[in-house]
Amino acid sequence: MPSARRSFLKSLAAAPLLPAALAQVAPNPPQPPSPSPPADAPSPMAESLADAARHRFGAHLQPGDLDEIRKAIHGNLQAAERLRKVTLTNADEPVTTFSAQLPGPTLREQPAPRRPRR
Amino acid sequence: MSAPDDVLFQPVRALGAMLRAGKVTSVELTEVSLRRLENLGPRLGALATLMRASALTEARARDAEATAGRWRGPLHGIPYGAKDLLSTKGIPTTWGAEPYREQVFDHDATVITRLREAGAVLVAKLAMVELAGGMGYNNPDASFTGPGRSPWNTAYWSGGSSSGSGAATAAGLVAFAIGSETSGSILTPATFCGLSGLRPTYGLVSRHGAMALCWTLDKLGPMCRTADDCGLVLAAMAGQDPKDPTTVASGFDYAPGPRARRPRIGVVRHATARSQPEVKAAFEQSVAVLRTFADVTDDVEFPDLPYGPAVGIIVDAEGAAAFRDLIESGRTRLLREKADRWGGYAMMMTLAADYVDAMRVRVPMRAALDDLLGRYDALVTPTRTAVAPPIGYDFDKPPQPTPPPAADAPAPPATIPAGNLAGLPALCVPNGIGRHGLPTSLQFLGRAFSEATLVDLGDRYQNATGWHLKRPPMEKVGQTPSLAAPVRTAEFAEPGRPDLYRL
Repeated sequence: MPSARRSFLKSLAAAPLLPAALAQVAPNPPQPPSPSPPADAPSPMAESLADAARHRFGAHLQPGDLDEIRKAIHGNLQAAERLRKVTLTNADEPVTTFSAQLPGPTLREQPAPRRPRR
Repeated sequence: MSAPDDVLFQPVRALGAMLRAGKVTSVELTEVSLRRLENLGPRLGALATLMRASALTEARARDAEATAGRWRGPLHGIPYGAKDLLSTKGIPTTWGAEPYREQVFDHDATVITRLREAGAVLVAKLAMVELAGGMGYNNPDASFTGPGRSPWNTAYWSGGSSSGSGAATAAGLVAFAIGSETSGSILTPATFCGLSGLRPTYGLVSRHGAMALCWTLDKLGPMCRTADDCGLVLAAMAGQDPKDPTTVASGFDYAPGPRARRPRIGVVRHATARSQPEVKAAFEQSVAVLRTFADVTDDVEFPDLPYGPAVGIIVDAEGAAAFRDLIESGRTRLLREKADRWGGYAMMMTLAADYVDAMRVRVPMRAALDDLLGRYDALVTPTRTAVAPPIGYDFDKPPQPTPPPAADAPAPPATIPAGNLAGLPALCVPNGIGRHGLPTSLQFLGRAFSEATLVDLGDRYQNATGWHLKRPPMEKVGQTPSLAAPVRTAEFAEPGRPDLYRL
């Protein structure tokens, strides 16, 4: 139910994390010293990204859309911040299905290119 | 000889036995299905396209084979419906969305082909939430066919995004249906419609020919009356497919047999936190039933990791890419639900590094869940903490908002996004009736490729209970006005020839 996804994200600001259950969960990262806006107010980053959305897609937007987009972007950024509770090192690769091997039957080995004759 | 109008409330296994005994024919079952789909499908917002001509052609062929003594398997001659995100050659595949209403592909999805080879008869493309909910819908009325309605109470939602698959199966319009799940889209409508639903392990079932919302999360699975039926249908769907490189070679053989030992089940800590009282009571009764045949461990701690945020970022990033042409064209304004019209623009602003990090945290999440699930045959929770919400209300503005929980109140474990991120299978089965006459549900979450175990557990539970045998109040469904567009029927002189179809 991806709908719950966005409303879930809206609720994140107030949702405390349960006690850490795993070693991967790191302590809260240090907070920036700048004065923080009200909890539900979009962050400056969200404002900037919403402005980019307006530049890029403004012709398609209806009145009121930009406010909703700004709030959604704010929720996404908060979600990304929550991901940082999981400690990742330089060696931690993303899951990926990419393979150099083409799907289907195994590639036949290609003959080596002939050297040009002198 | 004619089949009774309620025959499709029988499980697939029972229908198969009736067919083999000559008590009914595939044509008769198919005619019942077509009639009920036509009469009741639009009242439930469950029908996208009726496939009368091709279905009857297939049914006649299956009957002819049966007469000649050839049986393709347990699905031979059984009518079913497919979520309208599965490609069907020459027949509209709308993805539930107005911009794709006239879309026709020249090929069948692999699961459609496999089910046909197994003898099942495709009778309808079933309604769904537009684009499988990928744009972030906020209201049940999010499909050009109208909101999906639960046959248990048509004032309430059938769930999403496999809304028609849930409603049509629960109302006995089809014997079973195929749904898809990115994060909850099989389990949720199965719960809200009182069905057994199986989300397979990622990679077990080919997605070739299915609409892509999120390549690394999308899965296809059966929605049926019983756990046993889920096993039968999954066995026909599963298997490696060169057209879907994520599929694995193992496949799924379903052969119920004697049980070697008592299963081990873990009850997740805080499983009923913030649940409706009726959901909590039904779950506690279910656990009592499980104790009669399993060793049950209470209070199992579920790894506390940011599953919901990771799913949100991944769906936003992959969904934005999958539908970039739609979003950039501005044709999202044609979508039904208001939040779907602007959602794509926010999704397009997802940062690449955030997406990659979300894909990185899936690795420790998968490890933590596998470590836990290696100790049990399954973990159990209520599938959803509440029954279906009503039609007409925004999800973020419920008509009767519950008081916010205390800051230190425990939250229920996010097993649906967790299971989807880790690619794990889950089976849900009905386990009670909650408020407004709506079903509640029990979820079994298992280790990767443990579908046989989950089906066995669900089957044992259903052998000890009768919730899967309950029928919705169909007389009330018949009184529900049809709000959707007139039934769209695909007529074929020769099935599979796009140039010959008319609507």
